[in-house]
Amino acid sequence: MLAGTEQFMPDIDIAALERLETLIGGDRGALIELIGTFLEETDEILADMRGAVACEERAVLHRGAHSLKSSAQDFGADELAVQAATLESRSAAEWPADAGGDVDRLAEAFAASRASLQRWLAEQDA
Amino acid sequence: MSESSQTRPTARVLVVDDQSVQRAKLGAAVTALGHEVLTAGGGAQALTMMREQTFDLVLLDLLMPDVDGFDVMQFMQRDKRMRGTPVIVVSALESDMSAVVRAVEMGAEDVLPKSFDRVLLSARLASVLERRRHRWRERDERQQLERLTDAAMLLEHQPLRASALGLQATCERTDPIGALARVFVQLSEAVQARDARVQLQIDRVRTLGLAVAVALTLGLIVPLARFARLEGGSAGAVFAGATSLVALFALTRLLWRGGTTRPLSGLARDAAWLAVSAGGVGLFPLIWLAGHAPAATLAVLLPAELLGVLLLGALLKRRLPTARHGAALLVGLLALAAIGSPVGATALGLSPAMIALALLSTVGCAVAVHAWPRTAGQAASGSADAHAVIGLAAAMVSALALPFVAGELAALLDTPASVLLLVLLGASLSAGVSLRSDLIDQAGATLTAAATIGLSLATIAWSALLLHERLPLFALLPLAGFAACALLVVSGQVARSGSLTLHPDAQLD
Repeated sequence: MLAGTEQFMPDIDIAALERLETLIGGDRGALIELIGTFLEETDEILADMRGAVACEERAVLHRGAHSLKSSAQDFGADELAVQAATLESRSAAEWPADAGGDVDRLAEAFAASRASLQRWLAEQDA
Repeated sequence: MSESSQTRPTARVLVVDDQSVQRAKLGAAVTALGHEVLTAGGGAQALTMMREQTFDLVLLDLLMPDVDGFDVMQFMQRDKRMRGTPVIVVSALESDMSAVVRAVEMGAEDVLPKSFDRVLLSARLASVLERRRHRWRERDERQQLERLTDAAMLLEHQPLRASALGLQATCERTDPIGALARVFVQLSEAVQARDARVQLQIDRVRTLGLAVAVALTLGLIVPLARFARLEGGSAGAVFAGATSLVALFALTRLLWRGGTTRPLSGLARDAAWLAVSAGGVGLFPLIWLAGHAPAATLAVLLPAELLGVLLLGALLKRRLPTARHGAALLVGLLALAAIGSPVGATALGLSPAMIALALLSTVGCAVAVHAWPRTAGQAASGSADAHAVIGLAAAMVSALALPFVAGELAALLDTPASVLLLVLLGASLSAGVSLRSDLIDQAGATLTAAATIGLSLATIAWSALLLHERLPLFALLPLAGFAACALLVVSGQVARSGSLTLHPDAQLD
């Protein structure tokens, strides 16, 4: 168990964070830094995807979904990962119906995960 | 630190991913395995880095904007330097299977899923790096084997220096290839050592042969000069006649055999120096003395030339002679003292003035030997130059002497026997001086001067044969002294270089 994860965090798979920490050599500081990067970059990817929806740029939408899927799995954001995978497959060949709605749902899932991750980060500071 | 980082050498890994978080995760994971990691945020940056640096492995994301993973692999295949660097593509296998297949077709060595764990990453890296090391080893072995076969072919056709075989690195190997290389190098060294020994023997025989030839030819000078003097020839006439013939022989030979390599001014300067030292100071007093003392007795004084050369060497270098040369000088001076002592002078029948004149003659010869313009290492052209110098020097002294002794020379040449005598004298002088110049080139001034003990013995022998002279028993004492002096010098040279031959760029000794 990661220290400081006693509190229930519904939108994050703590086991995934544990795996990630092991993967990078058990360095808690590096993990915290990595979470920060994930939160920042996901914001950027979502912004790019919103831009892609406005201009109907399928490649950007698809690549964004692809990126979010992998990263979300790494940080235990399972709901975000599932939705990103769905959008990735739907946008693989053609423009998906209700792409804007899909991106909004991705953003909601990410917001929930972000709240959990930030709570976890705050516990690390404490 | 992982188990693999402790047992395997660190690799230099380039991580290429446009996503910062993936790049950071992969970088941290590879770093945690003990490798050195550099990262690139896109295909273009990765290619720039690979052009400037070398990597053992590239972890490459396929889906990137602008220059993607496929473009990077295509560039790498075209570039000779990057082609050998193995690539592991990083991909979400479940959605990218066709892309992965394409990447493998393009030369990717392995695939890593985006969600990988530590064990899988470690195994993939180890496997690819091991394959790479294996390829390098194979290539290295192939190259070293090629070097060995090249070396074998070289050795078959010509003996070479061991260092020229280029097998130093191969010799350090501990496997059979290394053993074979060491055998080759030892073989080459053995052949080289044998050649060096043979060359040393050849040089020794050549030097000794030259010394004997010099002794036999120049040894005739004093007995023939005495013969001519006893026939009634004046010192000046014999001197002028002999040197004229030397000039004639040398210059004829020069015209016959071809030109010199040095400018005339240089040759004339050396010739003037030789004319004064060997001709005026060396030869003329000896010919004069030959009219007043037995040739065999004069021969006892000839090795004093070695003392002159040793002293000149020490004086010109402005340092004390070596211990061995010091001892040689001491023994030689004792021999001289024995000659100059009242007992010695009486036994040999030499007045102090005669001894002084004979010594002056040896000093002249010593200066000539010491100042001889060396041409070691360029025998063919050097020989022509030597003959030019000898011919010019002889022409100079004979031209100076002839006007004063023309009448006397004409009188001397009245009888066929005297003509023959003079021709013999000129011929032996010409041949002897020429051989002596070769000896100086080959063995240096000091050893040439040491060989005057042989010249002395040859003179005594010729005197006995031609003039039926007998050497007073006392002469054995100074001769033994001079012989010991020469032996010290020769053994010193052998101890120092193992050779009786000068290195071409040796300094005047």
